[in-house]
Formats: sequence, structure tokens, C-alpha cells
Amino acid sequence: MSIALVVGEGQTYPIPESDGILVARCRNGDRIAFSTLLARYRARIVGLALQIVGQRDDAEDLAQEAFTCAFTSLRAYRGDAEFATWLYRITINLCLQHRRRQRPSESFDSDQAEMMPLHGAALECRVTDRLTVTQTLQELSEPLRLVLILHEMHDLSYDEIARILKIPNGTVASRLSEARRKFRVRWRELESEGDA
Amino acid sequence: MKCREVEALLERYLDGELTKGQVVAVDTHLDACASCGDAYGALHAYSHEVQAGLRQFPVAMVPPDFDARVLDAVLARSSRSGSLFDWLDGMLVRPWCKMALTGLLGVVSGAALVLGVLLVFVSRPRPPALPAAALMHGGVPGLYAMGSLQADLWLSGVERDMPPAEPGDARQAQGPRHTIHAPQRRKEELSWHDAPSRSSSSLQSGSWC
Repeated sequence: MSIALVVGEGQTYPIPESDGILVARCRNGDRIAFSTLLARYRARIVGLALQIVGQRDDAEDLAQEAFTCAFTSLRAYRGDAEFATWLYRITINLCLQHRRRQRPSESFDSDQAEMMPLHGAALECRVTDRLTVTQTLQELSEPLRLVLILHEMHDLSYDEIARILKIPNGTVASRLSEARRKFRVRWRELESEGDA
Repeated sequence: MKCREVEALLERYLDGELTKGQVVAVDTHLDACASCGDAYGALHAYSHEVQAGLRQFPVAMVPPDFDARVLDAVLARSSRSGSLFDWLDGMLVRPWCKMALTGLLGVVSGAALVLGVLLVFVSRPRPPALPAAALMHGGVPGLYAMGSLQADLWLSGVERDMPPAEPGDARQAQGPRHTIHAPQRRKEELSWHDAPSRSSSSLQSGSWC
């Protein structure tokens, strides 16, 4: 295993290895590379699963399944797309399959609003906000929700989203615009209902 | 750049999705055009509101045993290494292998189709071949030209090869699908021969498929 270093002003900084190198090492059974990739993406993948399915337990299981699928089929990964794109695509496919299997009434879980522990007077207000945003997001159609999540919550570019969802760049732009508009309208409605 | 063009690009401009040249053009226009500047300001506020709303979404917490669970699952699934599925997974990654498999599937499918069509044709009842002389005179009408005896012989062969019809058979009830129509003139010419009465009816209603 070789780690590249940059020496500047008497300090050394390890350069993070690229996903491609880590994937190559994983293929050779390198568990450190495996752990590095897992650490790099686990929070994002668990978050993505939660944002799509809306249930904490399901999201954890789906994220675990996504990583397991990715690592056990690394030989099928041809490197045409970046590893992150491939992993995102696997996760989204698993989450969408899961959503189609479950009943619509099960797709929203208010318990997840309390996932992140809060303290003090802000607790009630924050939980209400979280419920509102979760509900607003879940009410968007699937194509709009996916584009909005990937762009606004994962900071992915139009091109990256287009590669993950296998849609044209222009479609990403139009869906994002519509998703923002619908989200804002619904968000305001729910907020005003909450205030009343 | 015109206002309409700038308005179409504003959302991409806000998201940092324009080329350097486009950014310069939009910047120049926004500096000069107050209405487009206002439109950009409104869009910026609008987008900021959406982002602020989405930031309220609960942050996912990764469970502490997540890595261990993934590793266990990967090891458990990899334990079937060396199986047929594993070998197939490995083979299908190679483009030439995928092409060869696709080609093989195509050939097998084509062969199955041809075999099926052949079986249908072989199992179908067929009339005996026309006498060569009749063929020389133009197929079935040639039989009439040769005389009713030849026609009778050929048609009796057809009836012999046909499966026996059940009483009330739909085929009988509906009549023959194909009727050999002898030219009227030839039938009249043939009628003085000592052909049995069945021959003319057979000629008119002989079924051959």
C-alpha cells in the first residue's frame, strides 16, 4: 500500500487516494481500502436512503444492502462511471424498489424527525420543522424529489445527476426548476397551517 | 444577450452550471439591465428559501455497527466464491464474452424457430403429388385435361391421406375450405365418359387441405 504525501512548510499531508485506486485495491481483497471507501460514503448513502424512503430503519438496511451489493459486485464495475455515481445509482434503485413494494401509507415515518438528538427549547420547533420538510419532500413526485435531493442535499452538479439517473442534462434542469417551485409552494402552505 | 435569453439561463447561472463565456455574458447583462437584476434577486431569494427548508431535514445518523454489518454481509455473500454464478459474473464483465453469449442465444433461438416451423409443416396432412403429366398441363386443371380417370385416382389419394372425419365434424359441417372448380366447359366435355357420379362431385368439392 502506498500513500502519497505532500510536503510543504515542514508539514506532511496525506493525499486522499482516489476512488479508482481504492476500488482496485478492494478487488485484491484490501480491507483497508474497503474501510476507507465505506467511511467516505456511508453518511451520504444512509442520508440518501433516508431522504428517499423516509424511514430510519429501512434506510439503514437499504444503505447496508447498497454497500454489500457494490462491494460484492466490484468485478462488474467497469469504471465507465465514477464509483460514487455507481454507488448512488445502486442505492437509488434499491430505495425505489423498496418504495414500490411498500404501501404508500408506510412511506412516511414521523419517528425519523427525532433521529438527531436535540436539547432545550428548540426541540419542539425543530421537530415540527423536520416533520414539515419531510412531508413536503415525500409529497413531491418521485422524479422531482430525486433531482431535488441530489442537487440541494448532496450538492451534485447537473451532469452528475444526469449520469446517476440516466436522463439528459436539460431534463435535470427542468425537473429541478419544477421541484423547487412545488417544494416552495407546499412548504409555505404547511408552514402557514402550522402557524395557524 | 437579450433579456429573454438571460431569464432562461438564470437558474443555471445561480446553480453554477454555465460556461465561463455564458457567465461573463450574463454578468454583463445583469449589470446593465435592472429588470433582469430584479428577476435574479427574486430567484436567489426563492432558491435560498428552498435550501433553508431542505436543511431542516433530519441528519441521518450512521449506526456504530454499520461498518461491521456491511463487512459481515460482504464476507457472507463472497463465501460462495467459485460457484457457477460467480464464474458467470466474472465472464459477463468481458465484452467479447457478452457478445459471444448474445450471438449464441440468437443462433439457438433461430434454430428453435426454424425447427418449430418445420414440425408444423411435417405434421400437416398433405395431398399426394400431382402426376407429372398433370403438372405439365398446368397443375390441377391439367387433371381435367387428362380425363376423369386420372382425376379420380388423384382425388382418391387425397381422401385416403386425409384423417377420417368424425360425425358432426366442423370441417364437414362447414364444407371444404378449398374447392376445386373445374372449368364448366371441361366438365361438360367429360360428362359423357363412363366416370362414376362421385367423380364430378369429388371434383367440385374435393378438399385438399
